[in-house]
Formats: sequence, C-alpha cells, structure tokens
Amino acid sequence: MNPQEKVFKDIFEANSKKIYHLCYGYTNDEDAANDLLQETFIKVWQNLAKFREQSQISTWIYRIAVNTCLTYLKKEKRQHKEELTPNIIENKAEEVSDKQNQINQLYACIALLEENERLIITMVMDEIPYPEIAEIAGISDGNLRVKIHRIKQKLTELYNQYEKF
Amino acid sequence: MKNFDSLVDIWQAQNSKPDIDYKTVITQVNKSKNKLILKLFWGLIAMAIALVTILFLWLKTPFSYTTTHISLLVFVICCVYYMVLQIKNLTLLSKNNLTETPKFYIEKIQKFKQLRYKENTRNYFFYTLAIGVGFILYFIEFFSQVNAWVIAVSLMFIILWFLGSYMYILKIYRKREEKAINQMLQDLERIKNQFD
Repeated sequence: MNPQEKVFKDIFEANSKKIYHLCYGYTNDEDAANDLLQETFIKVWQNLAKFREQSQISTWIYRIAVNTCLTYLKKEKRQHKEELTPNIIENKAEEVSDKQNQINQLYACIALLEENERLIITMVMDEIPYPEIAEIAGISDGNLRVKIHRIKQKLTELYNQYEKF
Repeated sequence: MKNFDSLVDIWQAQNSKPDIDYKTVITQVNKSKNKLILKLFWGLIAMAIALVTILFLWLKTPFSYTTTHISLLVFVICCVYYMVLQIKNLTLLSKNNLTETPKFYIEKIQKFKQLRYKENTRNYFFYTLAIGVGFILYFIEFFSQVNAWVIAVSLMFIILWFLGSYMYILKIYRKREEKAINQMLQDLERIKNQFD
C-alpha cells in the first residue's frame, strides 16, 4: 500500500460511517446512500492534495458530502416521498425488530424534512460540534442554532405523530 | 411520546454501515471520470479534426468562386465557435469547487445549467443556420459544374438537413429539456434559499 492509499484508508475508516449516515438521512435509501458515499470519497481521493488544513479534514469531507448530496437532486427521479401510512409502518414492523423499526421510522421522518434540515439534523445526531456544522453549511452560528431548534421540534413532532400508528 | 434526546439514542444505537470500503473507492476512481467532461472533451477533439480537415481542403483545393471561400470561412468560424464553447464549459466545470459553501456551490451549478441550456437552444439555432448558409454557398461552385438532377438532390439534402435539425431535433430537445431544466433550476433555487 502506497502512502497516499494509507492516508486515504485512515480517512475513510474514520469518517465513512458518519458520512454514510448523512447520505442515508438525505436519501432514505440504502443503495443511493452507498452511491453518494462512494461519490463523496472519490472526490476526496481526487482532491486530497488540495486539502490545505485550514479546517479539520472531517469538516472538509462533510462539505464535499453535503454538496454531493445537494446536487444528487438533479439525478434523482423526483421520487414522491413515501407517506408514512399506518399500513406501511405495520408491514415494515413485521419484518424487522422493534429497534430496527424505530431506526427505519426515524429515517423515514428525516426524509420528510427539507433538504438542508435533513443534512443538519443528521450531523447534530452524530454529535458534530455546532461550530463545525455552521462551517460545513456556510451559515452563521446564531442562524444554525435557530435552525437546529426548529428542526429538533419538527422531527420530534413527526416521529411522535407517526409512532401513534 | 419521545423527546429529541430519545431520538438521538435511537439514532446512535443504529448499526447502519456502508456496503463499500476504501479499496472499492480507489478502484472506482479511474472508472468514474466525469461523463460530461469526457463528452465535452471528445466533442472538442472531433471539432478540432473537422477544423483541420476544412483548412486542409481550403489550402489544397484551388477554388475559384468567392462564395466557396466565404462558405469555408463560415465553417471555420462555426468550428472555432463550437470549440470556444466547449473550452468555456470545461473551464467552468473545473472551477466547480466542491469545498465551497453549499449556497455558493449551488449558485455555480445554476449558472452552468442556465448557460448550457442557452447554448443548446438559442445558440444552437444560429449555429445550425450558419452551417446551412455555409453549405448553400459552398455548393454554388459545385452546382455550376453538374447537371440539374445533382443540383436538385443536393438542394433537397441541404433543405432536409436544415429542417430536420431545426424542426425535429431541436424542437424535441427543447420540449424535453425545458421542463427538466425549469424543474431543476426551481429545486436548486429552493435548496439555495434554505441556506440563507
């Protein structure tokens, strides 16, 4: 393994899981999340030499992932978001454990949020520090806090609303 | 009823992991060259070959009609125009920096999409028109040396080519693209505004 591959391997292993969560949260689709993760890390590999250490490597990778997710829209076949009807939840619940069902339901609720809200909330839940999220999203710290407060409320309401079914 | 902290607990208990590893990414790097960049690049190469061929023909053939020289000049201008556009697009694409802020990045994508749409519709019309005029001028000298049948067939070919390009290809393309591009630009605008 050459030195660049070694560096890349370390970067991939340290960041891929969280980036995958971001992509999964954005698309609510396993295959699409894997595609976006791959696309993100291909760009990371291609641009690694340009990384100037002005920010943390994770921030830099997240920025690439966020932009990759946002432009994924143009390839997306404008799928209609799956409405969380009681039937769908019931059928899914039969196939998976309670815990997995809760996770699936959470992802489905995230999919109902606006694009930037999906990205921000997955970073919040993966415990990315607020200043880093603000830097990734290119918005002020104050603005981010307002958004996060609103998204937390919205997601909790959505989850509780559908948990009743 | 759950609060947000309970949702975070659910989130953090998940085992969702990617299906790919770093080796897959490295393997994919060479395979996944940007398709649009390749398309623009090969378009550029094809036009460069066409330009060299026209220049060679122009220099090596003793054309006697001024109209033929004008037609070849029109072809050369069309080739150069096309090449300049491709280079401009390649430059714009290479300037798409994925590490920009999302808002700025989306703005660049929007501009690029708008430019491409303009090129593929309005500019394409003038481009086709210039080539049509170029063909007519080119064939004046040719027509002076052939019989009426050849003239009729050649004129029919030129007219059909022009009408086909404009009436059929461009109209179908416009119809298909207009809906898609408007939807895309609207979506990009909506997403960009989310980052205000």
